[in-house]
Amino acid sequence: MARYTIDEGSTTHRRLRWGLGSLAAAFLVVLPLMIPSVAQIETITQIVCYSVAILGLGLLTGHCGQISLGHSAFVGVGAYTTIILVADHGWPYLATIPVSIVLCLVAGALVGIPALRIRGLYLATVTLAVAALFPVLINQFPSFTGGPNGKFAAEEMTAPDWFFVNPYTPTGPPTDHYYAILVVAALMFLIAGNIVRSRVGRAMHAVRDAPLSAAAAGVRVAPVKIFAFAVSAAFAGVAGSLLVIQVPAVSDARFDLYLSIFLLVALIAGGSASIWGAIPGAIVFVVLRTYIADWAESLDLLSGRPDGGQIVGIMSGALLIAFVFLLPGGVIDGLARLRRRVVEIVPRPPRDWERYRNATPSRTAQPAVRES
Amino acid sequence: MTNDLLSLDNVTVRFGGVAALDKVSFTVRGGQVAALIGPNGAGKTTAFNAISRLVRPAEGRIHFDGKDLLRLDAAALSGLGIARTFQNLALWPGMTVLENVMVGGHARGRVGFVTSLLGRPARREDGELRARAYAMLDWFGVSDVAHRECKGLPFGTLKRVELARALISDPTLLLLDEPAGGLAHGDVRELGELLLRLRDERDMTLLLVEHHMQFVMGISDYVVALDFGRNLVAGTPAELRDSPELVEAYLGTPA
Repeated sequence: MARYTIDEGSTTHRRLRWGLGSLAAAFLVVLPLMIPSVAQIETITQIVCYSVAILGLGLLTGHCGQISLGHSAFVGVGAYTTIILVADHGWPYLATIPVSIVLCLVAGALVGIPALRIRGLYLATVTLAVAALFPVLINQFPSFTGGPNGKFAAEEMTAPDWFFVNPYTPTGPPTDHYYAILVVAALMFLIAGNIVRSRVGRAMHAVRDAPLSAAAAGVRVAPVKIFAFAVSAAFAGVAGSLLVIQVPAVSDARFDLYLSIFLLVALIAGGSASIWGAIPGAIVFVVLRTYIADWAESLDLLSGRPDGGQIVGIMSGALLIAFVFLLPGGVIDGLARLRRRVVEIVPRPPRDWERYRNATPSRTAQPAVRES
Repeated sequence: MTNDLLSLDNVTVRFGGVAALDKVSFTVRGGQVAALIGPNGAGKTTAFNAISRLVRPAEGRIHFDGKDLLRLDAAALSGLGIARTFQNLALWPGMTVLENVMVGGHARGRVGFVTSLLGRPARREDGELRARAYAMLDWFGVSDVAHRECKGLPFGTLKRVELARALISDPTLLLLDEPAGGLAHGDVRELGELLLRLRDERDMTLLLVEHHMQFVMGISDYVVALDFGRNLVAGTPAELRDSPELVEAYLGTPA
């Protein structure tokens, strides 16, 4: 039993949410100023970038029940869009994000079309083909993409002069990038939350749980699935652009099938039912990809072996199995359970529901007025 | 023809080589409680699925309120004023009971893909729907589970939730597949009263598939009996009560 109970929507609840929200925001703002190391700031920035990609995958897989192994390609489309526009056409970094969004919306909608007919393992296979195809495509057009040599922008994104971070310290530029990325990511979380809580989000949940029932209740399943794919891909594309804002260099090898698999593992580890699962998911992702990979390469056992990094794949597989059995709701669900031990938020009946009491079937004395 | 709300005209549905429905025709008039009866496998649920566009008839026509239903898809029916329940429940286990009912009001919602990105329109729209859904659950006596997930709730509770989900769209025609199935004796009587009230007070037309004969005969204005996917007899309960065809279909021919 919980130690405290709080009514949902009560003043206490609102104050608590505002308080914790501001605290978290303040923490995220102060965070880079407290750490002196460039590498650590970059790790945190990576976590923020990848959380947007995992958030997008969560909208599709966690909220709409469609699996995708093609998200590495969407992250790649976003990254290449930004680097090409910046390096070859002199665009400002942030201005490239809307272009990434539009391109990924289209690409996502196209990839979503097969999902109208197939699901589960078969859908995974089709989207896997997208992931496999992307690096090939990149290498087909080296004049645009730099091919296997990758592509670089000569100048990093710089903060405007009025910005409070001093750019002439070693941690200045990465801190600037962190803030820009953080603001965009926060906006993406806001949008994801809005979608999930709206009529469209409910339709996505209904499609996830029972598509036929959803159709019978008036939900147009096909557009909902396409929307989920398109929006999810757009989130991944934004993540790709953000990665380029952090480090203005792109190569095809970063957007291979492994990235897709890691994103999926991170999503499940973080928890796919809530949008906030993307944050622990991104932490798991970056820890696996950087720390564990570095550690594996430093092992004597594997040193000199070109496939030393494969141990990360094995470990993430083991991690996935462990989560499915031990904590199927992911880290975020575990945290929610812990929280419920301390404080229970009691849901309240919707405001003014009693006004509609008379509109329910048989309390009406006379035939009800049709509202439509 | 003036008052015909729903009409099936020579509807045939085939599953592989088997005709689940074979040239079935019947008409439901506005303001009626109509019932589809027949032994197991007679095609009652298939007829429901054809009306709600979940199976495609090979032949025949289905009209609702002057509109050709076969030219529409399943998702369009809710907006036209047709709602239905399912024999084995069409609910969403991972959503709360309240959200389940709110999905029933989907067709009336206005928030689209673009406006869903903004918070405000959805909040404004959902406020009323959420309150109406809760009031509906309260009326069915199940508002205490409004914030629980459907997963694991008792069948009787879920039946009420599903009825609330169907009614929240304020339908003109309500299709009920075995509404009395699995209900206790007292609940069946209560359900009958509810259905008659929907007809009388909300001007609703009801079509039900039901095995509970006493219940059907007690509340229906018009009964259509099917057997082996074909029309058997149709008429008022009084006309059908002693119909030899019906007795034969249920009990077999006397030896």
